[in-house]
Amino acid sequence: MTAPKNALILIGSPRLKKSTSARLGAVLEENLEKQGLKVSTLFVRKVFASPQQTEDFLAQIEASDLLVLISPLYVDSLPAPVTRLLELVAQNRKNREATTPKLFAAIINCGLPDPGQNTNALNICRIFARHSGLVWAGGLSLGSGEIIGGRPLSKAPPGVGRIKKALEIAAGFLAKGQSIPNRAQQLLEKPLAPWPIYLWMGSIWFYRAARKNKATSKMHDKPYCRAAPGRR
Amino acid sequence: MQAVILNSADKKNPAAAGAVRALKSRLDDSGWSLEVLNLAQMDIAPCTGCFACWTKTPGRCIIPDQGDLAAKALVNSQLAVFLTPLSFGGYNFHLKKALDRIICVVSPFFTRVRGEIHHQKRYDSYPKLLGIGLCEHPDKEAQNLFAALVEANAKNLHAPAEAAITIVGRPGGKAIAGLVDEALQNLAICPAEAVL
Ligand SMILES: Cc1cc2nc3c(=O)[nH]c(=O)nc-3n(C[C@H](O)[C@H](O)[C@H](O)COP(=O)(O)O)c2cc1C
Repeated sequence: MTAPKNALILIGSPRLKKSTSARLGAVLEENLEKQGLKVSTLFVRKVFASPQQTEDFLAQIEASDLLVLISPLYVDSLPAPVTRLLELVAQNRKNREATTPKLFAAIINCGLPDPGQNTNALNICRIFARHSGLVWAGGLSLGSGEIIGGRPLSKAPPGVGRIKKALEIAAGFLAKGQSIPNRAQQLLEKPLAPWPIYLWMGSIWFYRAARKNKATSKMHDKPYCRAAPGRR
Repeated sequence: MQAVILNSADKKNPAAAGAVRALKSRLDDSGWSLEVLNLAQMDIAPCTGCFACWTKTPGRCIIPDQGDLAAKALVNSQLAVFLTPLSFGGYNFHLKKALDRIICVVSPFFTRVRGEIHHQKRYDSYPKLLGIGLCEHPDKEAQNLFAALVEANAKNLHAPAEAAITIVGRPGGKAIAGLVDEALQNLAICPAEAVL
């Protein structure tokens, strides 16, 4: 593949700028720019804000040589708006005459510690590329995404250095028109924090958030039980 | 016994209609009640990722639309069917909208499920899961991915058993009923003699 000249980063998180996805996107953007690419970033949620924005987005896809989706994992796959976006792009590119090939890569982050949870979502992206006439350039899979918790990577805990390195390697290969190498993923395989600590911190975070909302006593409620509402 | 079909195909999809008919007939014969939610016609906004369903109104999403119907139906059923046209081997947009809104049926706290870390149960019991994927042409890669996704969801949603089938093209009612029968038998839902 010839080296791409411009790239479009698609942020799939509905949390927009405060998402882990957006923070990963900022670092990838910086690295791709260092490699001489012109980079734009778009939030998937905003693509559907108006028909005009949807149309502009489709035009932008066609004008880009490299597309990178950065998204959270929702219920073992991609969030609904990202699914809608991929359906739209595939439909729009159906029967399209072959133009210069475009690269498509994806970076998925999930809340649970095991990055393997993202496998199905990455496979969906790979099949999407095949259906849409895009060249699959591989992906990265990050567990414990909430460790970043919407902070810039520069302010996140120490283990995050490995994420930055993985993104730098990925950007280097994508900028040459090549697939993300395994060694970038290998940097993400080791948990960012020992998983018992991460889960303990996660539980405390949820408990504190509930306390702020005066909802701790309801954390185990079963509101949808038809037989007996409340605790069962 | 109660079953729910989360149907995300559009009304005119003949394979989806065939699958609903086959399920209705088999489940009726075995004395089950069946609820069908036609997701493409429902008002369900996408999840905003706020976690209020765990920390503000635990067990309920705060978006005031029909998103809670799928969650409610799921926890009150013994069988949940995800019926969807395949989107690159995954669920389509309409089913995904509903599923993203059902994380309220589990707790924010953690446990191990089949050797993996997942969220704890909120309810005492959860339904068995049957995935029915619809695709126009055979696509082994997409069909295998669909089965893997249903299995992953079964762990996430504490399903006691799961099965996945794909209906390719527009087979007749008999062929669809055959596939559905086999899946129900695999889930030990209809006694073998009732479906033979
Ligand atoms: C509706 C919903 C479903 C989720 N499903 C999963 C899941 O199946 N597995 C997982 O590990 N994390 C899951 N998560 C957690 C997110 O992937 C995690 O919080 C991620 O770091 C969010 O990234 P973002 O800030 O880019 O949105 C889910 C979160 C939400 C809101």
